[in-house]
Amino acid sequence: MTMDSDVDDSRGKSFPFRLRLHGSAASSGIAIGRAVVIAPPHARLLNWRTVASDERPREIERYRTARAQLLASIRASLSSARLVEDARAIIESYELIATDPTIEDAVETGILRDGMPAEVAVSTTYAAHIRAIAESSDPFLRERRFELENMRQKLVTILLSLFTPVGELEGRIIVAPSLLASDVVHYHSRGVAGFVTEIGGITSHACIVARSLEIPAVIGIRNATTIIANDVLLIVDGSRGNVLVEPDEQTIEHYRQLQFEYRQHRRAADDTLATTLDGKTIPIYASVDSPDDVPLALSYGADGVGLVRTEMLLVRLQHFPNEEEQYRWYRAIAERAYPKPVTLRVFDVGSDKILHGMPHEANPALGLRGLRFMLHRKDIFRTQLRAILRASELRNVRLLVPMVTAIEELSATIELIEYVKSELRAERAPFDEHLPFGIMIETPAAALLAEHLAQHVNFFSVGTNDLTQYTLAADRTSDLVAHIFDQLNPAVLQLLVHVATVARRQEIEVELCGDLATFLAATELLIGIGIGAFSVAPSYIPALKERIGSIHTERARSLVARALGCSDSVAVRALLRDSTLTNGEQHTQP
Amino acid sequence: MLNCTMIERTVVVRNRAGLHTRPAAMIVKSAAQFKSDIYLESEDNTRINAKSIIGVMTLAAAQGTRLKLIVSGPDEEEAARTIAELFDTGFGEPL
Repeated sequence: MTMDSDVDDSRGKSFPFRLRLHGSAASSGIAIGRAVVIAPPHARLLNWRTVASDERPREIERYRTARAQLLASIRASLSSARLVEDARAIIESYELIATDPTIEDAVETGILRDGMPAEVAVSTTYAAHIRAIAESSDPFLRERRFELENMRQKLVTILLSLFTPVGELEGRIIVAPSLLASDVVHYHSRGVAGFVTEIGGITSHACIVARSLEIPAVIGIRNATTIIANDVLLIVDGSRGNVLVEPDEQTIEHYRQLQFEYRQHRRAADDTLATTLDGKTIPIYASVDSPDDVPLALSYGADGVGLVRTEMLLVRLQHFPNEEEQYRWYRAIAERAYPKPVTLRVFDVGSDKILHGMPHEANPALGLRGLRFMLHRKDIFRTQLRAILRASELRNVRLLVPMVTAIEELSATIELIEYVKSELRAERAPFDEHLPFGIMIETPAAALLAEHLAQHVNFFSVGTNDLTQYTLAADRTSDLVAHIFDQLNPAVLQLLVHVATVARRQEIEVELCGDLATFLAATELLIGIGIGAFSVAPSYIPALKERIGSIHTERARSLVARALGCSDSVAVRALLRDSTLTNGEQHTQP
Repeated sequence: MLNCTMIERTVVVRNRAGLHTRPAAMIVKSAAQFKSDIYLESEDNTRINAKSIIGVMTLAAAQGTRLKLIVSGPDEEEAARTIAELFDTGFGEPL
């Protein structure tokens, strides 16, 4: 691609840009715009600027919102636990601290008179009391400073998480320590052109969302929020992982040209089914987050929607929507994709998508997420199943459940589906009696139990991001273990081979979603393993279709045996490199 | 305030454990029910708002401590009586 040509850093006497920062390419495309730097929490507390008089009431509002959240969590712990009298008195005293008039007066004075941001006023006020208590001669009183410190931290954390920059964000580039998927959605709605972050893995949900919204993003640039000043002009090259700071006119012009070519390439997408050299067709589906993404996905040549992350509806609404709201949303997706198939995945909450009111867990990725949460809250599950079944009237909907680890979960789910179907029959509501039902294979347990699970489902969808995370015990959002998190690890490949073998024997479909699907050097191996369809972010579809057109199934199968002989992912990568080279093909790095 | 009277009376911490978390919370919750301003003043003249848990805790008053209870406002008599009674009964704890 022309994207690979570069601007010559040393051209002429002048520098084409002041600084080039290199990170990970998280979402492709090019953004050119001015930076909005969101300072990390500690910097926001230390180097604060006086809040303008007319914005001070907004800070008071933020303080009150944060305090209400803290109070709600204290009251929830009072009502949920069976407490001994002493413990109850202590927790009740937290409530009194949170509403203490002395503290409230001092915080509001700090904001209104001294122009402190809310988190600074809270931090300063609590710090003064903590100091006073620490100096007390009473040992019991001294102990209580830890509780005050804890409450201070909680309030400050809430306040910092409530922070969103004010002012115009249209066409600007957010530079932040890290971002949540919900932040990305929020900034997208405000017209942000690109993202630069200091930490995060490229398979984090924030990056997945950025890709599906086609917002260029570069992540993993250490100290980006200190190196990059507010309002400085940036070029974000999300295809190559570069950020250019203060580029000159010529460089900007060059990148505008690349941006144009990128959009042209994207428009050239074709609608024909991807077919291997030996005539096997491989559907390429799009992963989407809303009805609005569907026309975009189809414009890229998607053969359907392979994954609707319905939890994104929750991220937007911040509550569990009722049946009608859900039905309209699912129905809109099914109608827009019709007659192409649409796979609706049940809410995958938990892990890094925590909603207000959900139980707090020390280790949410291993906790009550996905199907586990839904079976814990059958009322929510039933409502969603009703909405999905009703949306299946056009006969192009498939149902998918995430995070399966045991056969009992599957039996309970099927029982609930049957119950909901009988309800709908009684109500004479139209739905697809033969709604295809599939499960995500994203835990080692599900992969190893594939033989048993296959007997109850119509298809498997392998989620390689989570499968890798759980197989290698490496948090996919942590850059400290990013070197361990490798989707080409032979341990992950062995599980894939096992799942595909079982699926072939039991004659059910096996599809693959996750970033491994977008790593074109691995496509041949995945076809060889027996993956029958892929679901990827829309922008990857044209290149993936093109790649499949150059693969021969027989040759791909011979690659699998050799890959299984590899002892580590370095060897797997070397094998894939050799294979693509002998094919005379270029390949991209993941 | 000129046309407001003010009630001042001495209270004594009688319970063995002193003004720890639970009694402090009882004072604050009780004080919060009244419209009047309610203060407690220690013998070194530190005056705190009895509706503030931080204030009451900071008194760190041990058994036998004498405090001045100062109440002023529309419901001052009832407020003074109620708070003083908490002290007199040792907050329902062993004396």
